[in-house]
Amino acid sequence: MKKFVLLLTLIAAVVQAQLPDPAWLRDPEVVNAFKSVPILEGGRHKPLDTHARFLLLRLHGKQSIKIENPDQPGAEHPDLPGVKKLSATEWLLLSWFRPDIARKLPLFVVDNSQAVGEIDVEPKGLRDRYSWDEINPARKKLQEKAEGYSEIERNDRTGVQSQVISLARNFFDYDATSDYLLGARTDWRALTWGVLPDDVKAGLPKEGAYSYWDMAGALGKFIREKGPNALPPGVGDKLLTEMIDKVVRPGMTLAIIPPVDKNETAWIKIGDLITSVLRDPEVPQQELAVGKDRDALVGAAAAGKEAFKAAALKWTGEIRSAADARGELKHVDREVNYYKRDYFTNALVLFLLGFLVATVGLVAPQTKFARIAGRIAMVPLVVAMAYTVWGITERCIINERPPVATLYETILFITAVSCFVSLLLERVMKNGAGLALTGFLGALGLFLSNRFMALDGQDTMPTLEAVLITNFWLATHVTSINIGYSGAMLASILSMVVLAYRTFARGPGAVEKRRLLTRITYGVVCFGLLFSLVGTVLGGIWANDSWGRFWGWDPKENGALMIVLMGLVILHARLGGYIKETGLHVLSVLMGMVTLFSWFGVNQLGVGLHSYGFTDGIWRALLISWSIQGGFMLLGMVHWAYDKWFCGPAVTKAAVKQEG
Amino acid sequence: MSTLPPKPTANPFVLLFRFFSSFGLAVVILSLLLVITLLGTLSQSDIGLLDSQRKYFDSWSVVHDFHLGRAVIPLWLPGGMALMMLLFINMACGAVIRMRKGWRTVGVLISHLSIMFMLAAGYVSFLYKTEGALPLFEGQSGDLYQSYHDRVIEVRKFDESGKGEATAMMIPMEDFQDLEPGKARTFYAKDLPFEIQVTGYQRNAQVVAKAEEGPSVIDGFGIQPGKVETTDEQNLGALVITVTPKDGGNPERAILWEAAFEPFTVKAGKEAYTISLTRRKWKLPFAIRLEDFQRELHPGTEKPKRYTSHVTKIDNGTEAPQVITMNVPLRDRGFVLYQASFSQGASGEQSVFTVASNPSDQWPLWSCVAVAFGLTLHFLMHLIRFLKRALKPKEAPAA
Repeated sequence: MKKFVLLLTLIAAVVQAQLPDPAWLRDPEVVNAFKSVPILEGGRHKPLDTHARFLLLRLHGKQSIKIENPDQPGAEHPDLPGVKKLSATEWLLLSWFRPDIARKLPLFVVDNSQAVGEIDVEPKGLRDRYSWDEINPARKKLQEKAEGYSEIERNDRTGVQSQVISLARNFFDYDATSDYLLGARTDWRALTWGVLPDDVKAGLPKEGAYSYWDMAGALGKFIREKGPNALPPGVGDKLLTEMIDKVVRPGMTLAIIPPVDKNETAWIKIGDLITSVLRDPEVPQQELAVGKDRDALVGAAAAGKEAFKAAALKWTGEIRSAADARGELKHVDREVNYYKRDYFTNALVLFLLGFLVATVGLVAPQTKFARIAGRIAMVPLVVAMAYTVWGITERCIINERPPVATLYETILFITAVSCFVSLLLERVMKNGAGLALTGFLGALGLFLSNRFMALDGQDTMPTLEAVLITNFWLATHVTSINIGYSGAMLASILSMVVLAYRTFARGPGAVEKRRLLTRITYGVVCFGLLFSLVGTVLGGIWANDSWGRFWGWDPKENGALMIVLMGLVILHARLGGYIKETGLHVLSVLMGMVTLFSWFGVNQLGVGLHSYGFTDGIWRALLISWSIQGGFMLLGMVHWAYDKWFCGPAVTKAAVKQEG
Repeated sequence: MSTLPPKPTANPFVLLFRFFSSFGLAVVILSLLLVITLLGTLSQSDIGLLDSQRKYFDSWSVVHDFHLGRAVIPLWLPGGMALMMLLFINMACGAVIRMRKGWRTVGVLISHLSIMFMLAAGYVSFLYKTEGALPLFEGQSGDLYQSYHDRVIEVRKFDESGKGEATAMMIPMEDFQDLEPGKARTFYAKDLPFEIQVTGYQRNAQVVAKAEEGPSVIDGFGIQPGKVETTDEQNLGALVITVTPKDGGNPERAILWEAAFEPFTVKAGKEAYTISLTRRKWKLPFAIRLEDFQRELHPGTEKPKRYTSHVTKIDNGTEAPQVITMNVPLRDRGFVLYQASFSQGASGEQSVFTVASNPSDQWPLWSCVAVAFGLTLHFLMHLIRFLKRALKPKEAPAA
């Protein structure tokens, strides 16, 4: 028995020796080379880094993964000494080359622990994370449960059932990802030599290792010449099962080989390539070389760090050259850079900083201290604006289209427009309030965009539906409507500020400031109304050109119409004298609620031409926002009632007279 | 916007005019339109777009059921049609006739007139627009387009030799859609040798074999009602007809079903008539032949990037090649052909065009330009006045 254990240890040591040291996988040169490898995914060419980021985001809820000792939280991980965090690409490389370590990391985020309880895995706390090793013993049950729950209509599923389906999808996707190099690590001689027909063996080396490429080449020739039935009974099934499990299944996770044929637009996956080798004697050598050189990385790992690095640079270079020759490397490096620079997180921090400094200045308004604070706040705010605009511009260049085409992009764009208008308002108000508002809106908007991305868990630069591929209408209708949303949201937030200000600030100075803010709010409502109206009608004209009808009562169209109607109600109610200051602010807050419904709510109805897909968690966020806005409306009504019943008619009349 | 100050009067016409031109009415109408739009939008996930449109927006009034737990509270509201009519009148009285005219209000006047024009465009479209599908296989030509929603009972007449195919009578859906089982209506035409009694209309149904006898069972088959689909195109209507010859012959009963392969045939003397429940068809003044349909996908996916149909327009024997693609329709003599969808089957690739004929096709575009101009002018004038006041340096307080 002791001899057997010793033998196992020796085998393990030999296998371990072929695996690269995890530190090699964090070598900046190696990481950068892998980051900028182009792949084809979701219909567009993107860097491997983007794939890794959004895979990790979907599985883990973040684009990086914290590393610590699983048995001793806060202490170093025994296999990854000195590592506190892995970037998405580092994590992907660890999963490819050292699945023995990566599969132990707490990866899968599960919102409701009942979902893991369903598959007999020991539940942890809410939103806790589970490793592949923890879920793997229950994989069969997970698959069965997920298949069963998938039969239920989406709207009829419970939260736990949806979580089980989502966990199954994530687990099996990662299972294949972490097996990406399994075929290269497998000893195919030990696995297949005993069952292969002699004619196939003749095409393989008599001694030493052979790869599945060699075996597929020899097997393919045998099958093409003698037919698949010439294989001894059971052999075909065994070989097929092994090939599917170890090569095809993991190999289908990435389309990473640019085809030699320039007329062919779809890139090739390792799973497709090995099938071609079995079927076709004339597979282009360049494509085959990319496949084989990928596997050579595993062999190079055994030869040491430098050999591994050289192999990594060779393989990634091959793919880049092939993509470049096809003109498909165009924006890949820019996209790597876009994510590296992390424009929106930097902008968020700067907006927050600007907000804090500007708010400090508001403590002692109209003083030298306030002026200095305002000037200091202006610096981070302007830089934050520049970061935001730069980030949006980078996205436009990468996507080769105007700035807004997805829900995520609407958040970025609306934030940028709102901040820009708020900065302009500071020019009118000159008291630091516009700066504080800019900082607040910028930080809030970019925080929300970040949360939305995490909830959605998908690439934020997807390819568009056929009808949306028109830069003219994206630049006119979509941009106008989103500027309209910005105006409506900004007016709503201004009104909430005024209602809160009114609660705490008293005295003649406060009344004057409030009146100025009210006029500004009214102006912003009109600004929002103008762009919403023009944007809505432009949308109708686009629809008329695309579908033959100007107006189809589609939920998104109705949402835009509702913003216009709300703006018109405010405008006419004010002109008719039905609302004064408080009424204007109450209705302006309501306009914000209507805008949120149009912006996010209608997409969740799951009907209509503009249904961009359901995002879990949006209704909850909307209900929270509506509750806050409802609270402010209530506050406004309390102010109104107070004025009417407690200040007396004389006071009210005087106030009306003063307002003109 | 300013209005002339009202003078006290007891003249009912003046009072009525004041009511219709008031800001108060505008606020009420706009608020109700907002409510109707919200309810109509929310209802779409339950009853579908078409029914929601008909119930909330094309109607004069609507009863909306509010659900509070198990309790259902019906609430009467004016429908979209009534509200838009009132809005038109309100704008005409208040923003055009009553409003003080001048340079300060010119933007407002332009934008209100433009919106009135847009509402008029919507009404013209509602009354006269026809819209339907024209599906064509590669190599096939056609000049008929079929409505997506309007069903009709169509009677066609064939002569002794089986030629002809002239429409002898068409019963529109509005005249039979209320004929649920137990309700019947008889239709006749002067030149038709028979009358048709219609009953038992089901909006979505299957025709199934039935063993038991019954009033709706004909030759062992009966109508099996199904759940009405929220996407109206998926509904397959069915009804029962009784054809009674005017000369006193024996009545014949039949089930008409939208999915039936063949129409019901009635012989009358030397002539034959076919009766079918079908979608309304219209004829184009030209024919279209599909030469080639191309579907471009985003690489490596099944997500369409572009649909393009290369067609030939055949007009009085003259053939002209044309291309119809996404956002680029074919327009001719008031008819517009759009690339709508496609299908792929054993018979090859089929391109589906939406054909629309709308007299007010381009009115919204003109209106949009005018409304944008009017509002921009108005708000800019306001903004300039506001900025002049706000940016004016404040005078230092007297010492």
